[in-house]
Parts: sequence; C-alpha cells; structure tokens
Amino acid sequence: MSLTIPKVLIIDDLFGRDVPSRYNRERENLCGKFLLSEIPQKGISKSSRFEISDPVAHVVFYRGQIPSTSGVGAVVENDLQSSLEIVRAGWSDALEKGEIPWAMVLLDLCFYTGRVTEESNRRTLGMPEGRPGDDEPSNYFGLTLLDAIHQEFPELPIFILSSKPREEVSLEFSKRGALGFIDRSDIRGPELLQEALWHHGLLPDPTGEIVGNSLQLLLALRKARQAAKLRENVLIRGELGTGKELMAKYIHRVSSTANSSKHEELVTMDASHLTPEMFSSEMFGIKPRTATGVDGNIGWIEVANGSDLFLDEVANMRPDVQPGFLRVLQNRKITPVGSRKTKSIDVRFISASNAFLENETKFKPDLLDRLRLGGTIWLPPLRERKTDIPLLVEGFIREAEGKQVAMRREITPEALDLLMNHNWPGNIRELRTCIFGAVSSHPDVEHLVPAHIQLINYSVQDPKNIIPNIQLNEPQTQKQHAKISNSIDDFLEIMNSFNFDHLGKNQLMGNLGDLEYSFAWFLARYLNASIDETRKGQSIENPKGNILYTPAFTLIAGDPYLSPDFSKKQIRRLLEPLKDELTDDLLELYEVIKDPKKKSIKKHPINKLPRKRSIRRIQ
Amino acid sequence: MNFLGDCMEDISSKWQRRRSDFNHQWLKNRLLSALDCGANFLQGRLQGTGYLEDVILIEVREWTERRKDLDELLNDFEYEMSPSRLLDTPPLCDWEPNIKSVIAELIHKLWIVRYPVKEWVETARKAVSEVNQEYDFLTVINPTNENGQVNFEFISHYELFRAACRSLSKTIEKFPHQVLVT
Repeated sequence: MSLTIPKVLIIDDLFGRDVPSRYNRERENLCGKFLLSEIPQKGISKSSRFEISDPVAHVVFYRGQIPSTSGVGAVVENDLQSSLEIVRAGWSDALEKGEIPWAMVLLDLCFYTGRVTEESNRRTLGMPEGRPGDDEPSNYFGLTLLDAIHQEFPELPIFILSSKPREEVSLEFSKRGALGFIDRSDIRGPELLQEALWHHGLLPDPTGEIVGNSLQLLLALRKARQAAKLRENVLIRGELGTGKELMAKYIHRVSSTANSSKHEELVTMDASHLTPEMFSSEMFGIKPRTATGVDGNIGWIEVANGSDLFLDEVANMRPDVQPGFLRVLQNRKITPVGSRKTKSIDVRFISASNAFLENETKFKPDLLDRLRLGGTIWLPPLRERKTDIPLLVEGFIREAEGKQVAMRREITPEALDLLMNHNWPGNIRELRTCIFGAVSSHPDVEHLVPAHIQLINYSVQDPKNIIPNIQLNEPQTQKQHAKISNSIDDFLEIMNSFNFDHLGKNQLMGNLGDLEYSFAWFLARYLNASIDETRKGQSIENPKGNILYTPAFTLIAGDPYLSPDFSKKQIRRLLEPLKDELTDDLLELYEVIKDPKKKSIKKHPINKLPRKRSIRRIQ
Repeated sequence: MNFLGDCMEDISSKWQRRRSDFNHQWLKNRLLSALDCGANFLQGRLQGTGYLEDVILIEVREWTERRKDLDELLNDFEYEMSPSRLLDTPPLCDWEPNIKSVIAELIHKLWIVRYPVKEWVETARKAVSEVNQEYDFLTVINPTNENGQVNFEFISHYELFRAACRSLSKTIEKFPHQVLVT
C-alpha cells in the first residue's frame, strides 16, 4: 500500500525552540525516536544527521512562545495568538484551498517561561529558568492552548505529547477535548503515534481510490477506520453517487490491513434482488445432490465467511425477506438448503443506503439496528465538499483518457469555475459522467473549456425519485450536430485528398485504411448521437437512462421496420473495427450487442446469475 | 485550606523543580529520547553516520555530571518534602522555637513512618547504581568494529543501559508530587 504521509503540528517549548548557530538536538532526537520527518520552516533549522527510511509523519514544530530563539538575558513568554495562527494556517486555510490539513496537532503540557539565565542556558540551550507555577498541572499552558484550539477548530484532532505523568491531567485533557495522550518517553514511540494517527487523525485514502481532502470526507474516512477496527456491521449512508461502494471497499481494505490478513475480495450483492423463493438458496447455499438435477451451491454468506459481505441498496430489501435476514444477523448461523447441519458464520455485513431508513415503514427497525451496530458512516454530498472537485476532475480526466492517451488534457480555470458552481445533485457519479462526456466528445482538444462541459440539472423534489432534467449549456441537438459534423468534416477531408484516379481496384485494396476508419468513426458518432436521442428510463440511479439499440439504429437507418436482430448485426459490424477506442456509451452498447445471450444492458438480477459465481475483486 | 495548599506548593516547588529538571528535562527529553533514537538506528529505521558515537560522546557521558544533581536531589528529598517544612512558613513559623522543634521532629517522624520515604530513596539509589554499572560497560565499547559494522556487544549493553535509564526515570516519577500531610 502506498502511503500518503500525514502532516502533524507539534507545539512544544523545548522541541519547538530555535537554537542559534546549530540544530536543535532535542528536536532531532525526538524526530529520530518517533520517526518524524521535519518540514523546515522559516527561521527554524532542520535536523540533518540522519535520514528516516519510512517516516510515520511529516512534522512542523512550533515553540508556542516568543521569542522563538532565546539567548541568555532574553525573557520568554507564552504566546497563544501566534500558536493559533500556525494552527489556522495548516487547518482552516488549508481546507479552504483544498490542501491536506493537519492530520493531528500534538501539544506539550508544561511550557517554561521567564528569563534565560546562564545556569538555565547551561542546562538546556535557550531555555528559561521557569516561573513558579509553570510546572503546576493547574497552570499548564498546554491546557490553555488545548482550550483555545478546540474552541476555534472543534474538528481538529488534538493529542497531548508529554513526558509528564498522564494521571495528573487525564481528566483535564479529556474535558477540554483532547483525544488522547502519548507518553513521550514510551518505548513504543513510532507505533503509538502511528496508531493514534490511524484511529484519530484525519488522513486521506492513501491508495487514492477515494479522492479528496475535504474535512467532511476525512471525517467519514476516520469513522470508517474506527468502524473497521470493531468488526461489527456497518451502515454506509449517503445520497446517490457519493461513493458508498468505494467506502465499503475502503472499510474492507483497512480491516484486512489492520488484521494483517490476506487481502481478499469484497463479496458484493444487491439486496433489492433477494426474493423469498430464492433467499435461502442464494444466501445459505444448496447442499449437493439435494434433488435430482440440482447442483450444489455455496451461498453468499459462506463465500464471505471470515470476511465482509457488502449489501448494496439495503433499503430496497423486500419486507418478506427481512425476517430471514434478521435471523442470520442475530444467530450468526446458517443452514444450507437440503442440509440439516447448521454452520456458524463470521461475516461482517457492510450495508449501503441512500434512503432515510428510519422513516421507511417497510424496513424493520430491529434489522436496521443490527446493520448499524458497528456505526453509521455518512458520506457527504459533493455540494458539501466542493474543494475536492479539482482533484476529482483531474482524476476523471486521466481516467477518461485511458492508457492510450496521446495528449494530456488540462481543464481551464473557467471550466473549473463552472463545475465548482454547479450543485451536483447526482454527486460524484454525475461529475464523472460529465468529465467523461467532455473528454470523449472532444478527443482532439488539449484544454477543456466551459463550452465542452454539459451539466445535467436534476429536479430535487423527492430525493428518492429524482428525475434528471437534461439541460445543456447549448441546445442538445446543436451539440450532437456539431459532434457529427466534425466527423463528416474529417471524412470529407480524407475523401477529397485521397487519390482514387490512378489506382485500380486491386491497388485500392488494403490502402483504404484511413478512409474506412474515418467513415466508421463518422457512423459511430452518428450512432452515439442517436443513442442519446432515443434513451429511456432516466432516474436518479440511472441518470443517463437505458440504451435502446433498435430505436437508435432505426434513427440512423431511416427504416421504421428494422428487426432487433438486424439492428444488432448492423451495429456490431459498425463498431467492430473501433472496439478498442469506443466512448463509454458505445462500448456499453457494443458489449451488449456482441453477446447474443445478453438481452438487456441492465445489471442482472441475482436470481439470473450463473451458478458459477464470479466475485468482484478489489484491486 | 487554600492557604495551606499554597504553602505546601511553595515549600515543595523547589525540590519538584529540581526533579523536573533532572527527570523531565534531561533524563526523558534528552537522554532517553536520544537513546530511543539510537535504538531506531540499530534497528535500521534510520540511516546516517556518526550518530551513535555522538549519542555516547554527548548525551550518555553527561550522566557523570547529572548523577551528581540526582544524588543531591535524593539526599534532600526527605527533608525538603517533609511536612515539617510547614513550620518554616507563616503562620507556623511564628511559634515558639522550642515548641516548633518538638512539633517539627514529631511531624517528620510521622511522615517517615506513614510513608515509605526511605524506601523511595533506596529504590532510587539502586536504580542509579544499575545505570552506573551499565554506563561503565557501555562507555568502554566501540559502537562499531573495524569493518564499520555495529558491534554486537555494544548493542547488548546499549539496550541494558537504555532499560536502566528508563527504570530510573519511572522510579523518580514515583516520588510524591506534593507535600503529603494526610
């Protein structure tokens, strides 16, 4: 797993002070002990005698006092305001800019003040004598800092990092909002800090599968890591398109990492497809040779045993299936169909829903409680984490370009502004569709400008029945015509420049590649436009609607009596030469067309799945 | 009550500050921190040259100076943290000297009987003696051999010295943090 190294701030009088003409030896030792890689700050020297091969965190040190450098005769005073400023710079300022904020702030307790004397300077360079009371737990400046930071930045994780006895302040720091205490002299230094950061710090997904640094997302990721540790059932909630399945994969992945177990695939199923008739056989499996002609089958729960089972669309689970499911959650036992032996199971159910389950009269409250025993993770809608849009857009552009990209596209600030100002009712899925559309529709531009962006405005009366009302920046027909006319232009240009006159039929054979390719693209574009014109069944789950290939081909062929089979054959013939370069829509269509067994481009319901299951794997 | 509390704070603060200077500022924040950092070197988590030699030369060798401070600290503990010190501060300091000396002696004896005062000091002295012993071993061994590799014997004594220092720190931590009168 590649790691994004977290950034922490340490406010400490000893380790944060600057030492003139040499490095701060105490700070260097602390970095070496906790495996911290220092980010040099203006006026503060950097440790230099060693390199850390695998740092636990990047760290910024701050003294929390003025002056930052103090020689003999100087008077050192605590400085709350400048401390708050440095916290703010790496927290609220960073969040506003979409940068990774402090993962955690670590505070010392006791800050010594007063005059730096010859004697105090001899003991520790630049440190003052200390005033009566500095050393008293009731007067610790660290607790004053904690109060002020927690009040201004309540979501910022704060830990105490001190070599003072924990019991002296455990009640005080808990009351004031610190999340824990790390004993600076504890021999397990790096491991303690790593654990504190993992469970309490705000860390982006190190694999980059879940993209973003916004506070709302980081809080959700932290909640997911905390839930993953418990191994109890988890419920993921959020609007459509917020990335609930990705979050389920994240929980599954971090659990595997934490348990040092082999990273196995996450078993995924759509809860809405379960019917009472096939519930037992699908979930519990069928014992071999139960009846003539019936093959044995391992149920989903057994497939996921010892790991996780992801239940998507749990709100749509039929009421007549829920009691059976509740029994499994309560008893943790299953009995395969045709068997008399029960099997104990150890499965964590990770469920996802976009509905407000508490208000769903058809959803059993006790089932809901069982499903969220290990916690509920709320995924923020994209409109509440807009600072993540630039990162998401960048990722989607690269994804849309694919591996065969000849050029690297950029998005202009104006186009990005357009995206930032949109409300994104369809959330990340809508943004992805938008970016993929922009890239695939403009394969030859290096800069995506506002004219390339098509935004879909949803009506939002009822979140469960959001029907997209497609409004383009410019009329859709003009847009499609523009795309087609580009292809016509290409085609005509090649035709005009092609030298037919002096070549016989035999010579032409094999030399028509460019022309054929250009013509195929022209027709493919035309087909793409007709697909968009003839789509049906748009909904919030499926904002683009379903592709209807016969009406689409009818539109370009101009013949109202075409059979579905004929349309299929023609489309297959048309797309075959371009199969490696198709846009998403055409690729989806091609996949359906080329497989004669497939009748629909919708996902297969669970009761139509082949017996030999292929389980989706997480990479 | 507050007045008594303030008095106790005042009479004990000097010894507490000296303890903090030794245990918190030097032993934990300097020596143990450097030793823990050095242990990460020995485990291959840090790379660089000369660090271990510096730790021995600068941080570890400072022990010979610091243990004198510690000896004084331990010697002074029984008297400086004794509740009889209350008689040196107002208003008890205004008592008749002969009464005060009797009472002071009585309070001091009670303090020694009711709390393991001698035991705290003895335990600390034993911990000091262990650090001394390991110090003597450690400071005569070269961290690296002729081939530049870390000396196995050095690692062994380094870890023993580190453990002895940590144990000493915990022992000193156990001394009371205020004058005990109840």
